[in-house]
Amino acid sequence: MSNKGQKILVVDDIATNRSLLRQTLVALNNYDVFEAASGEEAISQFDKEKPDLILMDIMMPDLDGHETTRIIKENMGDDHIPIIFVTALSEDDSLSTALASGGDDFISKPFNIEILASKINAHLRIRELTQQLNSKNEILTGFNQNLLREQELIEHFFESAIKQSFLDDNLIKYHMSSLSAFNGDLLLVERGPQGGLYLVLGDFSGHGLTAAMGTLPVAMIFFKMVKENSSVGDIAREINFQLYKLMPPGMFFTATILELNARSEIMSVWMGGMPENYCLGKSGELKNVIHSQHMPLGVLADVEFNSSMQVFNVESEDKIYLYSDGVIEARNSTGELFGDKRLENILVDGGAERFDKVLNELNDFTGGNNQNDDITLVELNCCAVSAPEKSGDNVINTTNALPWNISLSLSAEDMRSSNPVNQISDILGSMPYISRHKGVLHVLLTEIYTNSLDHGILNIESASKTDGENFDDYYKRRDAALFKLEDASIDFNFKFLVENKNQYLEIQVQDSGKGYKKEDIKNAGDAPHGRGLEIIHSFSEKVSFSDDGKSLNVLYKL
Amino acid sequence: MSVDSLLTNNKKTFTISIEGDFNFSLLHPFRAAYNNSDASAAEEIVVDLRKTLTVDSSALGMLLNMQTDLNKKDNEIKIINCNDVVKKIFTITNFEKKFHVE
Repeated sequence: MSNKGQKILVVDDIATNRSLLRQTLVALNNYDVFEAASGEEAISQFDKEKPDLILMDIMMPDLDGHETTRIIKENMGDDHIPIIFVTALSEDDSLSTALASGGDDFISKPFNIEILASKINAHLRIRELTQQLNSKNEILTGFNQNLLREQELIEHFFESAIKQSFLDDNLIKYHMSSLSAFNGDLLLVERGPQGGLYLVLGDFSGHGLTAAMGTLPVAMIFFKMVKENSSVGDIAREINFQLYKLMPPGMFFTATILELNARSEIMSVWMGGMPENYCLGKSGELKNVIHSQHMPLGVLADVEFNSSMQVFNVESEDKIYLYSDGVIEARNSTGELFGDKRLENILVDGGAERFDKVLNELNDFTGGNNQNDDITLVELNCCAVSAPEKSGDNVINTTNALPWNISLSLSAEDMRSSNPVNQISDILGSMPYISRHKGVLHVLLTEIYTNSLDHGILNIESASKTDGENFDDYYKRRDAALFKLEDASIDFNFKFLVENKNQYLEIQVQDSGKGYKKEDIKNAGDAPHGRGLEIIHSFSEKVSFSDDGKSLNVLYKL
Repeated sequence: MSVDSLLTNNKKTFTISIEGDFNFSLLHPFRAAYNNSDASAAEEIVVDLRKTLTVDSSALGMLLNMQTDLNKKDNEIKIINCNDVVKKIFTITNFEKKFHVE
């Protein structure tokens, strides 16, 4: 231990005592010595010089050694600076009074230099150890603060990832509890584009942050695929694929992925490693127990993965119960499991209040706070869901819309190519104001093109499509005629118009064939043909033929 | 573009799914999908248009042929998961009278 720069404060009202101690200390180890002639001076020296050790006389006028020590110890805070009393009193008394006022040791006068030296050494050593401890504590406190801050940031990620979730009170009741700030259980609910309800309830192996890490990819995949109207089997496959790539071996995600269609009639379920789901009818009867059929997500490579789902018919007012294994694995004080039988009994006998009954009984069973796993319970109420509102789609600024027009001419060769309509609707779809109509325009163009080609150029009558065999025959004749076709053309002209702040797409089609008229295409009725023109009419503002039926003019409102 | 079929619900439900554009290019695969003993034995026929982008008039004809071939009465065949455009086509062609469209 180096003594370089170690400071000792000597407090004594008698100058000769102070200089004697100073000489001794300097001789001993060349300590840096400061002096104070009174209690008050000692306090101010202490603040100014920050000594490493104090030698304190007890008998001083005004503030005596005990009182001075008490004040200095108070001012020390968390720091530890040893104070050794220098006293002429008898040993027993000195020790107890010294310790009572906050001193650390005493040495009696006249002092033995060996004892003084070893006591000073011992206390400076303690002082050093305390300093090391304090600085380590500081580092730990810093780490802890960083960790808390990081947790806050991460929590923000999770909240944003899950916030999208659509949790409507009428359809779904849920209870989630968790052992740590980050829940290993995950519940995501969202409406599909056709109004159906999608749900994921799952449980990552483990707890806390590690377990919650997987939440992000699962939530992102889920919300994206729900928007794309994917089936639960496909969603399960994609989540499995990503988790298998991302998660360390041994970690997995048990999950139920469920879709209830908008009319609450069909429920499809993919279940991997989750406890049973219960389906109860209107009057509380148990209609179905849905069992897990698969391994948890993130365990199997994509080639081994099985995305097959279970499909059930449900009725309005049926209720579906889903839960994480924390519910049935909850234990009471004697270590007994809550168990699935107990849960099933409460659900079946519980009446309309069964959801709350399960939670209450679970709480009574475990004696309140004796939870050792994440617990989630969900009640799904089967009732028709209205389709989600579409927003922000119709506001378009037309003030600076420039008129344009596109012309295309299809040759016989182009008509033989697999599907020119796809290319044409792609071209139109890339034009301003058109993209959101691409779907309808594709339908419209398909029918226009089919009519021009089949009835105008190839001159095949749609009445011949009446039954299955002829339907086949029709397309055979069509293919043959198309194969032989030479010197034919279908010309399209698309014109974007703005009239009275309304936007239109005018479609002109001219074919090189004999042309066709509305009358040529017999009224559909129940026959499997002849709906093309009907479709064209329904999607358009105006439809007119000219040039002996060789030219068709369609006005579509954008 | 593809056609898939699936037997579920204790072999009681036969579901045909169509991916991409539903038009005459699927004439044969579509018929092949329901021309089998699974489909004729099933209590319920469902056409799942979840992945179907568009439906044209020839597809409507194919659906009507299926109804005839399988000897199904009106509203017995279910068509599910239609997008807005497809749904509109079923509405304007009155297909909702012949099929259970949802």
